[in-house]
Amino acid sequence: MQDRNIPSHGAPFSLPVEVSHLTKSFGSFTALDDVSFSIAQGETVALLGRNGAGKSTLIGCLMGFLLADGGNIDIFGHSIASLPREIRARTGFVPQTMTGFGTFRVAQLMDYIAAFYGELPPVDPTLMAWADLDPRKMVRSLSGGQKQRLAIVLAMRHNPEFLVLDEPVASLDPHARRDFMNLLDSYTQRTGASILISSHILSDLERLCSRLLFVRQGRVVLDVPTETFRATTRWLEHLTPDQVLAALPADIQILGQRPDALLVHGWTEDLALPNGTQTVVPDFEDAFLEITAPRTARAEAETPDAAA
Amino acid sequence: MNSFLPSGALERSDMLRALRLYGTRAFFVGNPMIFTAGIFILLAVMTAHELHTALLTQSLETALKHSSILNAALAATFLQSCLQIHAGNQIGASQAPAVPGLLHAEARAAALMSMVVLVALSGLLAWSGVPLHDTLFYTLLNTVPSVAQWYAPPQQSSRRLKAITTLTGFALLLGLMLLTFTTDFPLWALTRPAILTVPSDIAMMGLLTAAIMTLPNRLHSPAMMSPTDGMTAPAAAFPTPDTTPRLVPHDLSFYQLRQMLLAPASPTTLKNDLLISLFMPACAVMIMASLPLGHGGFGTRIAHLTPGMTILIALQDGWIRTRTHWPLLLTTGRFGSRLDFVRAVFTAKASRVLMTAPLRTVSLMLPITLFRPLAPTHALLDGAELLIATLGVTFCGSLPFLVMKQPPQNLVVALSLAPAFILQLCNPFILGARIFGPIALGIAALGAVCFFLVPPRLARADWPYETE
Repeated sequence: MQDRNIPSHGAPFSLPVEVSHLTKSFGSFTALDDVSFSIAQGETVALLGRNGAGKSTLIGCLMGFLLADGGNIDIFGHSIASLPREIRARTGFVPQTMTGFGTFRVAQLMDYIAAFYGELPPVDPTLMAWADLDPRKMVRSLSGGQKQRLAIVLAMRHNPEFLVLDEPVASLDPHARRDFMNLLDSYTQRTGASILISSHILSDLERLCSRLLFVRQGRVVLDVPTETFRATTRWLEHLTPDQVLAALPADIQILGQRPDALLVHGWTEDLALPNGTQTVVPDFEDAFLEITAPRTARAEAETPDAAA
Repeated sequence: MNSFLPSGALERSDMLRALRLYGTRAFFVGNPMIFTAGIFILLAVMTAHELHTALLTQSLETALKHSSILNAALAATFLQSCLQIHAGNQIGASQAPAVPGLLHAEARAAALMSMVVLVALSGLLAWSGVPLHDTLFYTLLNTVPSVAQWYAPPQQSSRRLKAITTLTGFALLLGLMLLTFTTDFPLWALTRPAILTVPSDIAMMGLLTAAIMTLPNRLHSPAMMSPTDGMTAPAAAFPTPDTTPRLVPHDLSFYQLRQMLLAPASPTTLKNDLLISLFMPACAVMIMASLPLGHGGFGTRIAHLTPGMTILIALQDGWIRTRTHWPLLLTTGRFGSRLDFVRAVFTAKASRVLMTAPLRTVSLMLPITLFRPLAPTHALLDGAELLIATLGVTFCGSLPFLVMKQPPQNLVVALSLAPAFILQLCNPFILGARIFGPIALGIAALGAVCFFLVPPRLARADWPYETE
């Protein structure tokens, strides 16, 4: 890691994030159901799902804000349940909306928060230039977009090795959003940090992220490298999709179904398909809608991908 | 470097940073309670000075009869509110739990500040000559309602917890005020032996500290993240467009529509408000009078209690302070122009208070008329004066808007609360109807000025449309 004053702790080869069999319920409602995944160093992972799919709950558990009912979460080899301060200092978090700290001036808040991380190198001028904040302004007088930029600066000021962003660009204008995505890209290139980002701006995620994690109704339904997703996800159009389904090998994952087509993952050019089958590269947004569309419990059981 | 400091030293340096904030603008600016707390600190200083002078020649019992020791208790309560608002802002911030050590540092700093202000206030009272352990005992007893505030600050998202703790806090505060007004409670508290007060002081300080130190757990509990937010019911496996309208049009009556203007500030419905107005003052007086506290018979106790209970009919909600719902309602177009809208808010408030204030006044006057030989004509006159004053007090909170476009929140809060406290200290039962009459008319005139002149000013000012 470059530019860091905070020494690395934890097991020498531990992954930044390892989640296994995570479950979380609120009363009778299961928000997360047996979620498992890991994030390697330098990976930028997109967390994709509809509103209420469990993304924020997952982020809440990952950051230790919510207590899991079952399963394990390890951050840099330490259980989130007892995360040492020095490990917490290696993480950063950008919330959906920045609340609190309203009576601070921007510079005062930046200094105040930074002090909790110890001695830090000077602020990255690129980050400050992007944020374009008046240091004398009071936080409560900032616009929604400016507050979000401040939240991003506060989360990245200490060069975290693992950064979690919960819909960080929702209130940013297109310029700020594009510039932020470039900034994030160069940050990961420069520092080798791992990122988990949740957003509904799919084009940004597709461009920035090296891995896609689709969540539906509290479950991870697809965890795949972006390149693999692009190369092996296809619509198989046919008048009778059942014929196509019958012809598909068992290792092909069915992600969705329309009356005249199947969305599959694991497609290869040499796949033997019934005559008349058209192979179409899906638009990322279409694929997202199909994969993350909610299912009833019955449909979930009947959908072929459940078996796969 | 921080990371190499021992954890104790690290925590101390974190807490010192959090403590330093109490000397900066971050604490003073935008804290809606700071002005009110300042006023009561001033009053507490005056009370301490009065006591100090009186105790040179009089007994404590006599001196207390001629001083408003309650001011010190209220100063402690409002100071706790200031601290709670400040600490809640930092601890409740969305990024706070992600910053290592911040939550703990802020909570520790708030707990320490809380103790410092309580000891300082007690020290101020001790200047009069009463032992410090007794003044601390008295101040801490009066701070018990604040523990409820610390349990459910405004940032707390659980409505149930908020409602329970608010009601508990209000009941405790009311109980303490009644004890102060109707019994020798202050004298009792200020003359206890150290063997009783010192352990009690330690226990109450522990209770308050525990309430503050556990604040981060409550503000960042799972309840903060509602699982049903944005949740949709599971749809069919491959859903078809849903054409069923989800919202059923609901016609509100004119009156319901107008009451929406007060909705966020007046959490009770009109029906509940009327019921509360009808029964609460009378029940509170009767229940307190039934307790074997104070001197004399039932009627005498009611006579003692009633002046202190005038606050119940005059205390205001935040109708003029809470305006974030105005822009949304304005855009519905149901209320016309900005000026029409503000006038509608004032009219809605007036119509509500015209219904509730007479009920509250009658409810307050009934026990004193029935159980004490207060001539009905006197009761009628006292009640009428109280009613006139209460109607005026309702609009006093809007007074700052008459002279300022964007008055500070703390000034609006102070002017919403202060008249009710003033009415509690000077009312027809204490001053007599003849003296209070002109005062009531003066308050009513001030209220009328606000009612007619503030709406045009507010219509030309910016309205808050984003909450923090």
